[in-house]
Amino acid sequence: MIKKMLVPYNGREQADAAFNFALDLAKVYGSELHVLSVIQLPEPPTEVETEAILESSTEYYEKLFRELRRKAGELGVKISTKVVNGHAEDQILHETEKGGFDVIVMGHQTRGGLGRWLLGSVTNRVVDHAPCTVIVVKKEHKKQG
Amino acid sequence: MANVWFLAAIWLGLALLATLLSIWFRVATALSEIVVGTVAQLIIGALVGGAMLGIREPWIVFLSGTGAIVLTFLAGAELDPIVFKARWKEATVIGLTAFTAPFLGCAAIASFVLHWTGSASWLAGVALSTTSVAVVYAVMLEFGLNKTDYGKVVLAACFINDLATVIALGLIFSPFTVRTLIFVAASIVIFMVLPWLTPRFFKKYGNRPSELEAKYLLLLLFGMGALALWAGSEAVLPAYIIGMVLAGTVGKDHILIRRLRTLTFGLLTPFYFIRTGSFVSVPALIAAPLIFLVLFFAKMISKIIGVYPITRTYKYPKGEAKYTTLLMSTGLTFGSISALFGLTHGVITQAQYSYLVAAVIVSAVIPTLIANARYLPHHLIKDQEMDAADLQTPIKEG
Repeated sequence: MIKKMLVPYNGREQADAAFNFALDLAKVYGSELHVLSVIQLPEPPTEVETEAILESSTEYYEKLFRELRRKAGELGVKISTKVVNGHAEDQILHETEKGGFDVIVMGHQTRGGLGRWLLGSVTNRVVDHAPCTVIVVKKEHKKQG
Repeated sequence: MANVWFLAAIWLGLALLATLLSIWFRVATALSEIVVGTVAQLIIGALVGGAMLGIREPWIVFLSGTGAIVLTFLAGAELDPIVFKARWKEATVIGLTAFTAPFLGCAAIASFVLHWTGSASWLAGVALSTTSVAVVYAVMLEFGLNKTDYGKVVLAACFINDLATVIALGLIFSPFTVRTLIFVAASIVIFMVLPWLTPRFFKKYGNRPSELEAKYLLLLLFGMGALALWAGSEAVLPAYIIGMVLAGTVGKDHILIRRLRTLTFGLLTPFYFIRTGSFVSVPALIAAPLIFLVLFFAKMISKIIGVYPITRTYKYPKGEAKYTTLLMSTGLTFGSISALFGLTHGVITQAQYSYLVAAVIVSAVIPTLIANARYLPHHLIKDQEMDAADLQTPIKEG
């Protein structure tokens, strides 16, 4: 039985595919969907720019969440959304621990540039350290409902 | 005029390139702009001559200076006055310690180890005494500590640290004359009147397409900057304090702050940071790389001596205390402002400026890299063991 699912969401094609896949699952199992978006600040965070990024990113995700809520509403799936700041994998793992999720459904999220070279893929680290099952969805999975 | 537009196109081209690099490499725009400025001056200087970028053209100096002033004002306006009023005593003790230790430590190292002149050594102390409110704020938010007593005090202390830096910058190199007294007295009166006058003035005449608020604030910043320069001080000093005293009023007006940010990031700060980078002499750095490493370690060690015991006083876990200490060792914005002040006022040479800016940049990058590489895996794997982790703060929840 899958009661609670966590969907890390960054607004990209892979994340949309993961969300659609999670919706399919949630409909079948009657699960709750929890969408988590992580704002990752540039290094090092600097005065004024940090606050500007937090504000604009929160607005960006809020706009995307409206569409996700609409999709979930159409299928009668219960959904909650949250935006946090930090390192993506750290926040995803922390949220999983805190929320007692049964499954993490995520797209294959990668970092850009130096971050990927230094720290590797977000998905790999979540798969390695998550205390629950992790489903990695290919971006080709677009079917919904 | 053609030359002006040609130069402007080059600078905005460099700004655009720096922004793209900051997106690709996920680094701060300011850092990217400084590096682009340094590389551009090096390449353009070698190919067609150092004057090509026009870094001493009056209009570029004006845009760059305005960028530093408005950025400093906005940084001051990010202060949370409610938190500050509640915990100002502790914050002042921590902030002044976090300032004093690197200020004295780095000045001593510059003087006794590097044999810099007295003024140059004090300038090094000022430039390397800064901390980064933004870095600490980001980390506090990540761990949900911004709502704890510990987080509030440390954040407020960062503002005190930077305030001490700009006061030191504004007053240490100022000749103490009657003008200084007039500047200080006039500043105190204006800083007391502003929080009362500004919201009333904006309420009566603001919120119109004529952007009265922006004109009013720029008038204040330029006016107080002029008074500061007349007294032999520095324009960023009143700008930071004006930001702090208006944090509870103007700072809460998100629409106005956004408009100011657009002006600042879109036009002003690229000129400031690219110009900051363009003065860095790469040959000087290559000739004596040890010097900037000495300055960097002087900053790191003196910050650790100043900050770490305080975080432990608050009975914070060792790992978190080390993490906070490392992150409080950064400080790109005020570090670069101080160094550029030193260069343009003849306090330091271009070679000394280059060592200082390099140390400031390295101190902005290395501590966060060490902190993330050394401590982040522990959070990944053992997150559940930390009490503080339960306090994670969502920015938005729905």
